[in-house]
Amino acid sequence: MSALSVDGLTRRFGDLVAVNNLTFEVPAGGVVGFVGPNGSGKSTTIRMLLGLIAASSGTGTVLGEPIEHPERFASRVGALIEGPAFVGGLTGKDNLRSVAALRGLPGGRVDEVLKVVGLTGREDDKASTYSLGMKQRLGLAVALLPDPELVVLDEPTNGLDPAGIVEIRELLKSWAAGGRTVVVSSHLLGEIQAIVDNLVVIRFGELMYAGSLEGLMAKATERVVAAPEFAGDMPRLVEVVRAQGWTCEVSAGELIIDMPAERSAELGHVATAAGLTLRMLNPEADTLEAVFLRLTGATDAELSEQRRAQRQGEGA
Amino acid sequence: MRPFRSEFIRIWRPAFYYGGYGVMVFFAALVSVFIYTAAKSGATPPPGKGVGFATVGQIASPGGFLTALSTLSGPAGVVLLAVWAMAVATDYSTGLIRTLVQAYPHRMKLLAGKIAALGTFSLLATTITFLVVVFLARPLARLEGIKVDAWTTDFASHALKGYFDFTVALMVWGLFGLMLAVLTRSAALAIGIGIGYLLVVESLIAIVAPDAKKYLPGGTLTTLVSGGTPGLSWGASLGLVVAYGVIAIVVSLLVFRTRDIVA
Repeated sequence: MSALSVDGLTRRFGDLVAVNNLTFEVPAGGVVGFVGPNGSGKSTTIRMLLGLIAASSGTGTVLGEPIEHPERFASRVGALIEGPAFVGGLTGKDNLRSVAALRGLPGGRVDEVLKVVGLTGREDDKASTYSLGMKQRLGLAVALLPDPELVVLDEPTNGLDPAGIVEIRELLKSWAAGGRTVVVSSHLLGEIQAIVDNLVVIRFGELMYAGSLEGLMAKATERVVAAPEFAGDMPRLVEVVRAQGWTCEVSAGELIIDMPAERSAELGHVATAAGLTLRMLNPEADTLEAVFLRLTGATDAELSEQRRAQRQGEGA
Repeated sequence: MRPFRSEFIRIWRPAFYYGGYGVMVFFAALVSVFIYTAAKSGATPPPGKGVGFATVGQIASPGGFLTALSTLSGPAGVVLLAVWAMAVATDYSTGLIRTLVQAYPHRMKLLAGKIAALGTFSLLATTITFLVVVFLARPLARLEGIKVDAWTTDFASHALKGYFDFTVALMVWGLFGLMLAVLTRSAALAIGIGIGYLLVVESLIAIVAPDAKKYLPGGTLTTLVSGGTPGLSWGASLGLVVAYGVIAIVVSLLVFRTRDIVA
């Protein structure tokens, strides 16, 4: 059974199509990254899945139940949507008690989740006195309250210090290892890459990729960056490389060669055989960030401009 | 029951019970002192539109110990309107509404629980305020030398009816706050619109169309707490107030049930 599935899911806000004919499926179990540039429709999609806003068209299921009936899956889903939200005048514990009461959970569950997120000892302080990181932990505690099968987290490491990020990363992995499905929406692609098994990438409300992280990273290109000991040897190095049938280009005193990273040693041998000494020989591969940018376009500003142009084109 | 308990945990905090109950007790004491002092000194303005000062004769009549309630209903109503509006609108401004609706998607029950919790909170507020008015009545009358022998006539029935009218009227003030907060999703806007309409717009309508004012929400609420007027009987005002309360609940439920949660 899939944890999430959507088929032709669409949401319009007036003329703006925030989510356009989105179709994907998220298998149960593991950590799933839900990524896209700002304004790509991630939050709108999550809100439709959780019953906060209605879809204009299309269908979807959460844990096998239709999204039109969130009451059928709400008790099995925990969520942290667009940052933690609390009553600042209440203690952290009372904030949790309030949500636990709404979910019909016993009071003991509050203490359990406080311990899991590391807030024990500060639970009787007002939430307004919490640091950003502590508020984030409280938000995670709210999501964990129902002991959910599916956890949907929007920027879960926002505001956490490096140690906190590592801690939360391990926490998410342990939840997934326990059989839960953890959906993480984040802009921190390095963070996503470190924890996810599967990815859903959207842009302009449209699906760009849905599948395994490995599958996406297969689209990553590899290269070797080399530089001769003496700058004057660069033309000779270019000649040697091209003689091997590899394409290359010189950039900022370095030679960038399109070749599998694992064959970098071969380049070293060829250069040595030609009497050249290399001062640098670095195998490199695209990061998720590079693959993401290639998939989704460019910077937020450029994407905004593209979107504006697209809307003007549609209006014309 | 779950939404009720959840909401009550959130509203039972110092900002609400000190702010709500404290201000209402303060208004009850202030209005009581002012009503008795003004009546005895004869320094009340001449009768006219919007002027509702009690005379010594009215205070000394049976049930006169509740005279302050009709003057108090306005400011106390504004306090409860603000409390209800803040309790609802803060859920939107903090984003808490996302957590609540995700955790409990039965929106009608969620709002009904909120209404029940705020209603309980308000019931306690009206009870405390009513008791302040009643307990201050005799010492203030004695202080001003107003004879209160007639107060013993049908004391219980006057007290019960006064408490009922005051409570119903203030609950409806609260329901107006609820409806405005659900519609605007902003405490400041809801309170501003509510107070602006009830205290300013209705006063202007009273000048333009004096006969219409008694049927409007603010006028009807005051009439109910006053026990009726020659232009609008107690029964008719009760019926109108209940109708306004029902309208506020229905509008709130319908809007909350269907509207997207975009906060």
